[in-house]
Amino acid sequence: MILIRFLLVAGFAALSTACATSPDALEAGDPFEPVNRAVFQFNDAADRAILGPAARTYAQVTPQPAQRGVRNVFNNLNRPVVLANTLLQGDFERSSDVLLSFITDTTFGIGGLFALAEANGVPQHNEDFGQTLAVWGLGDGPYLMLPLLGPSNLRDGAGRFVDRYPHPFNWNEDFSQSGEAWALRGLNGLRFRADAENAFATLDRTAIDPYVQMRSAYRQLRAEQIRDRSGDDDAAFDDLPDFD
Amino acid sequence: MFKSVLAAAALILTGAASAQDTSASEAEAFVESNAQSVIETLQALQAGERDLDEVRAEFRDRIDRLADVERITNFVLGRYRRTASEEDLAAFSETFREYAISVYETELTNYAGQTLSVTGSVTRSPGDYVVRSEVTGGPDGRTYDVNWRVLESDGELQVLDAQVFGVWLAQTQREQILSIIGNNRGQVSAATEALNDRLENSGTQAADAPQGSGE
Repeated sequence: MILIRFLLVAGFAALSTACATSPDALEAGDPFEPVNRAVFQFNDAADRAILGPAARTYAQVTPQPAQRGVRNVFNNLNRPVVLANTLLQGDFERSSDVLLSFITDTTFGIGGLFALAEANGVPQHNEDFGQTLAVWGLGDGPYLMLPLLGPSNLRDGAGRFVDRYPHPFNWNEDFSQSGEAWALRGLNGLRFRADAENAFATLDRTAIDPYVQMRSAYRQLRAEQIRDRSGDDDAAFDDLPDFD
Repeated sequence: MFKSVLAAAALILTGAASAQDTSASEAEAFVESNAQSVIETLQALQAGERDLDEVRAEFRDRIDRLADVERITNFVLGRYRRTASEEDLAAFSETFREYAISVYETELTNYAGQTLSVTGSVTRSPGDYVVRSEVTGGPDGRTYDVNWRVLESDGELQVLDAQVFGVWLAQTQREQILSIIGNNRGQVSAATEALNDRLENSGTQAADAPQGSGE
């Protein structure tokens, strides 16, 4: 609901901010830039005050093997989401990789604690509904900075909402809204932030305009993730800019 | 990841090789040899064999002799380089160069001990290559794919951009610069000011370097 509300607010805000948006921002597919920047500042403040310190504490007090186990468990829990999307993309080879990984790690890997499938050479994939929509031909739409969730766009933001349904946390409605489920979601957010600590630190040290740096990195990364299923790695270099 | 991006980016500013009628294999060798040189320097730094000031001086020397910073600078300025005054362009070029060097200097200690190996290349057009490589040996134990944009100009090969996990460094810098200028009614001096602010915040004063002729 938070996401839907944000998308609606962003839509209305766009009407009032379009005139204030620079031509460069419009060219960059960011017609909501003033609103997005405000959300970015909120996220940045929240990160400096709460999320960053909490993530660093988590990283300091949790032994590396335990951190790896937590990462493995949450990655494994997300595999039904990945499987649903590889199937929707009609990619049965990747679907079989994901299904084999999920079964192997859930059983022999003790609930996903140990990433046995990857260790034994099963190719790993990470697909979501935003990527599926892209494969179906949908453009990314305007760039969005989501509260607490970070960079996205209209297509990927909607995709995040759809991806909730195949996730095991939402298979049972009672559990989905339970305190335990929210605690686990919080832990997943914490370990995700801890894993991204180096990226955040480098952003802090090097960005000329941190908002635009994040937007650029997100765009390029998503384009790469969407392109990776084509099997033609060289095609990724077709659209590189000239330096003259 | 971004450490690796920056590690890769350090190499952008560290080398150019003479070449006539270059080929993809030459581009691969060019990346491999320059990367190896940087890695050895960093490994020496980590082992305590060389101090930071010495390494810093070596990098600056390489940049002065070999890198085509002007071409990268023109790229990040985009269409605004045609409308900016010569004074603004000179000031921006000096400051951007200092910014790039300061970033790599600041990040230097994070790259020591890593290993880069070339895994192949793609020829986009004659004299325009993307060299693929892998960087390993970082503290997280992961392997990162790093791609290099290598262009031939006047018989010389030069690395102008690097990509790690899908993010091209120079493209990202270009977007930031264009946004700053665009949000300031096309004033290139606004980008120069932002770069100077960045330099001051990072504790590296641009005052050490020769300045442009003002804005």
